Amino acid sequence: MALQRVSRRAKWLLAILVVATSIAIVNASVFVFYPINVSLQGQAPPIVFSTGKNANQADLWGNTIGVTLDSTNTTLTLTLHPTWRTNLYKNISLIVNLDTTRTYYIKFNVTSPFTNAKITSAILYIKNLAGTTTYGTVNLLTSGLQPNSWISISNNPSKLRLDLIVIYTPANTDTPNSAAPNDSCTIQLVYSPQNAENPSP
Amino acid sequence: MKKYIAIFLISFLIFLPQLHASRFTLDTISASLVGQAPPVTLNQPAYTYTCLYLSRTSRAALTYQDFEGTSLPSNWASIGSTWSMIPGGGYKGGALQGTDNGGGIGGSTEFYWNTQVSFTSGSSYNITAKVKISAVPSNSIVYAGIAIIRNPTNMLYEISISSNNRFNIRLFSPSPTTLVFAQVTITLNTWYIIYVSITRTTTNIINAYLYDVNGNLLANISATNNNFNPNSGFFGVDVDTRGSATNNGVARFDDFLAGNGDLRFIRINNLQSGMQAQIIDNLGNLVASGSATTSNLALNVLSDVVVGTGTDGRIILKYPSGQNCLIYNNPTSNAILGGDTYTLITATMTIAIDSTKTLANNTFYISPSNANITQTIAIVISIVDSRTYYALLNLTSSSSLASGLYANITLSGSSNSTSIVITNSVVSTSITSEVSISGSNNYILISAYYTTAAKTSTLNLMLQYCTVANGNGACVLYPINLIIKS
Repeated sequence: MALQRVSRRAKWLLAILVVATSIAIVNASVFVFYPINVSLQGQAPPIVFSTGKNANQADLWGNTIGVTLDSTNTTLTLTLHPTWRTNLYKNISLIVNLDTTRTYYIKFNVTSPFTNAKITSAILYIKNLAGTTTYGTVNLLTSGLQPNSWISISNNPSKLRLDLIVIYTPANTDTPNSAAPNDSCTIQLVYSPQNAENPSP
Repeated sequence: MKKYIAIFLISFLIFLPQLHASRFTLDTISASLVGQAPPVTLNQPAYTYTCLYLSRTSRAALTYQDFEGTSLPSNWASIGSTWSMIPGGGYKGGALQGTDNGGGIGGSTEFYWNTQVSFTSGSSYNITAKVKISAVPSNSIVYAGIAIIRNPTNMLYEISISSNNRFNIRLFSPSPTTLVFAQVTITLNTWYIIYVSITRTTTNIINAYLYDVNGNLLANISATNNNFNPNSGFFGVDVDTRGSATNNGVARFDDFLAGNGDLRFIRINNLQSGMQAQIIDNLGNLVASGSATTSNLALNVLSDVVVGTGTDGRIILKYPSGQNCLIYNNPTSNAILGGDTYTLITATMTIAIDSTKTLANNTFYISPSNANITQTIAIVISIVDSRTYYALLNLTSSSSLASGLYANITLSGSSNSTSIVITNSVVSTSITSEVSISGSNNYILISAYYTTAAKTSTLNLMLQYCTVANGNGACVLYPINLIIKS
């Protein structure tokens, strides 16, 4: 009797094993492995930052208009010393197209805007080198990709100039001895050899 | 089939990056603002009033004559002599020259303002003229001076210098009698100033003063005489030759002025304490200057009572600091004269500067006519930082200009900038040149007037200062609004 019960259980196990094995055999058969070779041919950056005419010149109160670049010239750090009212920093940095063969298109993505309420305006101007033509502006109080239109930077001329205007509006409680508040923002310079579409967020 | 699938997959993997991800590259900019207190502040000027205009409120002169031109003045008459105009031969400009021919009263010769002056009891007059003796016949004495002639014209008082080194009061009735004289050195061809007052009571009281052209008193004589008792008379000049020759003495005259008040001073009333005044003639010469210790100021113009050549001229009023407050331009049709009294009109500024001293509004009044030009310090700029900044002013397009506005706006620092220029409400230059500024003596200066009253303009200025010359380095802009009224 007991032997009969064992035999029945073995039959059920065998049947399950057969079914499972069959399914495995069916699924394994759809995986096909083809070789793909991805080759990364690293390039020097075609678009880089450069210091402008007023970089590291005198700022207010004996400070310096701090403009620093990383070793690859792809990270720009500005340290400015503004006061109340309209502060104008002209030609503090340049965007340079080193690729002599093609035009690039740039935009700016404000990832972390200025937030202090006493900064009532902060605009980055992208101009020609002489400063006579403005190609676009970036509102540094607003996050997101700016300006709406791509700014082209051709190989001739190959430089664009950055001006920054910051307006501080004091409160009635501020005095001549009150320093304007500190703040900071971060921006991404986005560039592409095409201007057909925006990058995904 | 597997072959097509493989081709599709390989193509997709190759082209997908080029369509999207590989096309966008991101560089990073980070900006840190390290806020500062303002190194430059705006402040109100030391004197918060403007000078609107100066108006002549009284004139002591009855007549004046500077003897300019080539023709003898109209409404003057002569008794004897040869009288002529000598352009360029005067103390300033031209002169009157008389050559005695003995044809006048008592053998003298006269040239006089042909308007009768009343000599009723209590009347008092002052007469002044510059005189110099130009030629003296040998062994003779030439007298030249002021004539107070009786009407009818047969008697006179002569207050004269004479070539025998005297200052005289002589009576011609009609023969001459010396009433009094003082010994004084008289140099040929040298100008002297005779100033005489005559008061008629029951007699004629004459006080006479002789000055050099710098206003230094050389002699003072007086006489009381009643030998003639006119109801009216004339004022003029005379030449007389006595001695071996009785003719041909020659004298010149300039700056003749007659009136019934003190002709030696020009008075300016309603001044602010400590204000300064200058009188400038039409030739650009400083005639008189002084500082007010009260609201009234008397300026001694004895050296040139008919200021300049008897036309236009200027009166400049200054704040106690010496900064101009008003330029009064006398019209060319008139003269600035000794005995004139002018009254100044001023108005108070309304200045509002924000709590950080980085924004300023100033409302003030200016002259309502081109006869007066208001000049003032609108704003003082102080550099709190020890360094030098480089600044300019810019008139923005948001300004509104009422008709008839003429204005120059200048930034004064280490030097004066070129000006923002508004001509009849049209901006011809909207920006100044750059000047360096340091310390606390930097100013926004305005020189302006309207052609009519009741006008208001708003001038929206931007003061730009930079850390580096020529607009380089860090630059800061302060709004400064001037509301200018007439």
